[in-house]
Amino acid sequence: MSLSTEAVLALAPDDASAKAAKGLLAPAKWPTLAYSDDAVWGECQGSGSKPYQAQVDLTGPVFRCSCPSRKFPCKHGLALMLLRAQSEASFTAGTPPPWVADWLASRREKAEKKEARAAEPAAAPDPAAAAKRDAQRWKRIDTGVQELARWLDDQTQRGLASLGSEQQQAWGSMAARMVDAQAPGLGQRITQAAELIGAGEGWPARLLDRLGRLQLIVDAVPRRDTLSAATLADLRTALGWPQDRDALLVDGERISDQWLVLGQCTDERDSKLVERHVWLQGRASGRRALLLDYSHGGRGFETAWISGSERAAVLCFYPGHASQRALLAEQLADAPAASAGSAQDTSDEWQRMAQQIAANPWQPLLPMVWAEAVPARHGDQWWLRLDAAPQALPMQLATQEAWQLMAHSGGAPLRVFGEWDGEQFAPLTAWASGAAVGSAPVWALAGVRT
Amino acid sequence: MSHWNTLLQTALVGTARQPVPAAEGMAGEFGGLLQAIQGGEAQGQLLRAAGAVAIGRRAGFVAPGLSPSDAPVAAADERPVLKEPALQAAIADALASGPLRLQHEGLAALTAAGLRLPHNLLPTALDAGRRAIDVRSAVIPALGERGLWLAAHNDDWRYAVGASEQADAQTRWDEGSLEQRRAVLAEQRRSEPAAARERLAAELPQLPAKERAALLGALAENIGPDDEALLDAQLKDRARDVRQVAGELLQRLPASAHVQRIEAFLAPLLLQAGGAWQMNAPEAADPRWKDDAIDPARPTHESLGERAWWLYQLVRQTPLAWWTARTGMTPAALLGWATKSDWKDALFRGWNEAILAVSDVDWCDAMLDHHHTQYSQRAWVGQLLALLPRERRERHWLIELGLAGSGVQNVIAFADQACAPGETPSAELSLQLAAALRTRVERGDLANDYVLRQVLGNAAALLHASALHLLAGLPRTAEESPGLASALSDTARIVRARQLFSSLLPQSTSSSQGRP
Repeated sequence: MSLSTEAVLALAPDDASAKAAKGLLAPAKWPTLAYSDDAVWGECQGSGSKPYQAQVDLTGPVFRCSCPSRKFPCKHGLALMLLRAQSEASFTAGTPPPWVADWLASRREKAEKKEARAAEPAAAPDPAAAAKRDAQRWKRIDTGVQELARWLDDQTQRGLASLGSEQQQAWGSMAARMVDAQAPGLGQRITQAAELIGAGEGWPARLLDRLGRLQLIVDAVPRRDTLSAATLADLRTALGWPQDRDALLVDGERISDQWLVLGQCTDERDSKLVERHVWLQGRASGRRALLLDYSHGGRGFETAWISGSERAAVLCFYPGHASQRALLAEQLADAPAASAGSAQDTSDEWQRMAQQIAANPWQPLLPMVWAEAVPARHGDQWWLRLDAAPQALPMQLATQEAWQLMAHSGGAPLRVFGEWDGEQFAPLTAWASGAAVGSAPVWALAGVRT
Repeated sequence: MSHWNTLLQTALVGTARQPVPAAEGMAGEFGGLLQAIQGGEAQGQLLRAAGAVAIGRRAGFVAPGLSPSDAPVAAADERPVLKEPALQAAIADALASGPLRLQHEGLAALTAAGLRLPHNLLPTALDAGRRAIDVRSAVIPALGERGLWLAAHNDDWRYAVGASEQADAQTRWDEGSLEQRRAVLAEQRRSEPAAARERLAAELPQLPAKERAALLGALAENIGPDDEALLDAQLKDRARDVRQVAGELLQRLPASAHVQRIEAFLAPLLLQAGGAWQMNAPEAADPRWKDDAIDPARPTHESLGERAWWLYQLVRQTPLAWWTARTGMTPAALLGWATKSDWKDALFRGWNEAILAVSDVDWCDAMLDHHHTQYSQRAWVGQLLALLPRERRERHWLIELGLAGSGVQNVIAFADQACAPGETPSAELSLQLAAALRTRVERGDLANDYVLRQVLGNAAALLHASALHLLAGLPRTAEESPGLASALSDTARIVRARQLFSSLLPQSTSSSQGRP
């Protein structure tokens, strides 16, 4: 696997790390630069007497370095991969030295142990205790939801036109109460709705849309006994009730496939908390999947995903209707036999979207791939013109990124992947129109969105 | 979905004042669902219906229609794109955070190698040109067809919008950017000066002031008596910049009516009394001055007094040769004489500007020699140095540098100002400067000398490429302060980027001439 400069820079946990890495690019700073099939490693002369040992397990890529930095990957790891991207000839092929080989071996061992653990029957949890915990949580949610229902009714009785910025604080405390009631998903929806008050033209319609959908969750809670298991799972997700990962790895729906990385983005949530979306599509199954990860304090993410690359893996999907969210259960050495069917048929994105929403109306984001899309600017708004039709999606993208996408298009169509939130399309990756599946994108969203 | 709008109306007013609207006219399963909601619990009814409709709208979303685009698609590029990843990264880095000189060098090297910028660097390059006018001359030729197409879509990049670079001269004149039009005019001035003048004269009345001044300046190429009429007319232009350009150009035509008039104003003020020349200033403003772009009103913040202000304007517009012819003194002698005059400031400032306007090398040398002994006018030194051909310029720098290299900071600052982007001091001087800097760094001067840190980065971007090895691999220590560490690593990045850029160039083109 070989990464481009842009792909490596996209892995940097922040701009400072990227800049520091660029300062280490002279091959003279690296007494050792080498690679094997699975790994790249190098020794970087720092200010101390002993050089830092940086290494990358290419199956991830996963980085490791002997330097004391808490950033992940650190500047040495990034610089190592940048050098590899920019002057491959500086590297020699070789057998990993012990400090690399031992780490690779321990990583393989850990992966095997994890697999073995997953295969074992889970230690029998105490069903009575679990049921009691669930019942307690439902009780608190019931109380919170009753309060929220009354509060929502209050808002509609007084009318949305009377809302102004002075109400935002009250909405914030309502959101906090939902977190106290162990339904953080509701709190998040209230916070997002509060941000709409007075924001831009037509905000009352957008606010009504949000509050209406919030009401449907509120309505579902007291009726939960009548819901199917899958709908109940969707409801729990909407309430922000986290899944137990170990249980999920045992019970979840598993799909083994060759997964194409459609695109990814990182968003700053609260200060220092970064949320990463990685969107995948199975080559044989056609199934789309979302890997959702979090990182604190600019540390970055352990395993990197390269947009446009493919990886054979078993994914374990969260329960629910039309579930997108999944966990990486197992990486496979060999790709499963590819089916004849192509997963790249994008003619029916609208149909796919309608089915997804019908199956689970609480799904906040939907992935979309447009085979022939032209980015365009009209007035103050960016648009994505679709398939040569007069139709276009309003596009949400930082100005600098949007101009880059324009530069790659030149007015001609691109294949564009992105997230649709029901109002705006946020592009994450673009390929030349007609580029082969698994080829490197011409553009990918970089950096952390705030 | 009109039901949505009626729901929205009620939501805005509030259900306390307006009832929840009935789901009339809605057919099928969805209509039934809304009816059922209507029949259910009263609390939350409005939002429940709105939620159902919102989900329906979402599932059945129809993207808005956009009028079909008739904007042209970007033309195909004939020039190959820069592919080398290390060079791409170095140019990206320079554009994002490097000094202007480095940006210029990277882009110029790429263009000289017959390449163009990759698509992903176009917005950054166009932004760099938006921020710094000096880098535009390197940005525009590196853009290629795709970049020109992109610039046309953003008002901030209007400066780069132009005709296709593959178009003929007439099209580039008719549709080109200011840079392109200036290039067309300058090129034509070399072969057909009269035709170029006519081309400009036909266009001048429609142009904004900034473009009038810029294009008028192109007449400096091959200037002759035939240009007098057009230039004379521009002395009455509304814009001060245009008047000044016209005045400066007319100075190069000593037989012109303008020059004759100015000399006639000045002559009675310079008198010989008792064997010595005596300078006077005008006693009162002359109404005839307005034909020669002389401003009787002294600007508010002008440091000269009123009479000195008048004299200065006359001196600025008088050909330098008039002084030597009239007094029989050499430029050096005149400078010595002027230091004793009451009107010293007006004379020096006027001469300095006249030297810059007509690039008189002998006067320039004399003025610089004078400045070596008179440190009062240092602000001019850099600009004057910029005028000289390199060998004559560097003679002054060597004096400044001193045997012990103690003047290295000043010389680099002067050279920075004197060398246009794309130019370097000579290889010999560069080696001396780099060696002097390296000695200071190895001696540990960087630890406390904040100016030296700045100078180090400037030197890395400025000096001739053959001297860069002396600035590579500067000694690092474990206990560097963050400021020192960042100065050293910035320097290392600049040196590395320039070494990469020079790999693009054929080795013979790296020498440079004096500023044009």
